[in-house]
Amino acid sequence: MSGWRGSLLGLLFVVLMSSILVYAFLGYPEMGFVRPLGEFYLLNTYNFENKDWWSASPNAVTGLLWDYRGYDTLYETMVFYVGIAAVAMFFEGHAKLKKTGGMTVIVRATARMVFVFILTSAFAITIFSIKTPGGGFQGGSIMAIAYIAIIVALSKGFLTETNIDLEKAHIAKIVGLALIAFLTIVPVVYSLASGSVAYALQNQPKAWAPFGYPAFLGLASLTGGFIIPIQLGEMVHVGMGFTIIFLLLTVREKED
Amino acid sequence: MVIATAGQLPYILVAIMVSICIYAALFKSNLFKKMLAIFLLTDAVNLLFIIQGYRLGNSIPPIIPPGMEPSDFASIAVDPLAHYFVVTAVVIGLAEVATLTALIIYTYKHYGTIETKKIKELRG
Repeated sequence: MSGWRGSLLGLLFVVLMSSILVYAFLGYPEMGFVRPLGEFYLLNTYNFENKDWWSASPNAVTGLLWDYRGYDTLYETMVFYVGIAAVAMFFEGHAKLKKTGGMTVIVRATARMVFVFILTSAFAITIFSIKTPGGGFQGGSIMAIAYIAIIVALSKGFLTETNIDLEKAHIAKIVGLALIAFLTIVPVVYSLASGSVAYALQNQPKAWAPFGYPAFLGLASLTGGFIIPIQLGEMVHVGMGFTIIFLLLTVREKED
Repeated sequence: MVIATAGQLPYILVAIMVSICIYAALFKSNLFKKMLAIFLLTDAVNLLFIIQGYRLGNSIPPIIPPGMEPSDFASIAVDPLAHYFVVTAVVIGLAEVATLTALIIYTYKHYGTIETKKIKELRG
């Protein structure tokens, strides 16, 4: 399809998409409304009269960074630092392969064992993120490191033994995203079916919207509703995404 | 019938911007144009955040001027939450562009073109 037909269809797409988005955006409050949480930070970030809540930062954005999710940023940075250091170490060893004649048996055996440990820690960081710092993105980044370690230490071909190739990684990535989309849409479908009020991404019931995912498993095991499955979906999506990138970047291996 | 008020007009601008970017990211065959569209899409979403936290009229940035009372500051400063999210999104956007640029360069070196239609023809 080319020429004026393509342009016309493109214009139609933009008009339709804009109409849907405008309809959705008009539900937002008008410009000029500051949320109570934002006002709280503006009032307390540099308040000499009430130092119980202050962050001693004249810049409220910096105050938020320090106070609101400083630990999250700290652990995210740590995960990336360790991840990059691990990949750099593996690639450094990889560069010396021509001189040494390949990775030793010790490295290969260790890589197989470490692969399982890294995947386990990725799942742990993702699942326990409800109580400790971490989450799907951090878990996914760590998961990708496991596959990168395998690519570097044992070659890309070994990944087929773990049943991972480009196509399967793409499918897993889409499944992760689909899980998130499914959990997001369930409240909306529920509200349409039952005639009540619910929102996309609604986790717990509200006074005016009765839908809620189970907050507890059994008597006291906290699940946070759909937070854990959403984090797992994100972990698979991010982990497989990074793995795909590294699989593509190492495609030359076959030709050499 | 839905009629937008003056305070909602910027949302319409964002909606059009997002639509054009999604169209370009999905249907343009040049990988570089796709990347630009994705980059502009993140900017459009950032703009949406800023609009939501903006105060019309006599507003100031969320940095308290020397000597100003916190209550006065809280009544005229813009929402710091929106700025905070944009700061985080800008960093992620930069990483995204760096990765995409590396992949496009790699694709060009490998296939000699960044047109997806031509790359499809080369396969098999």
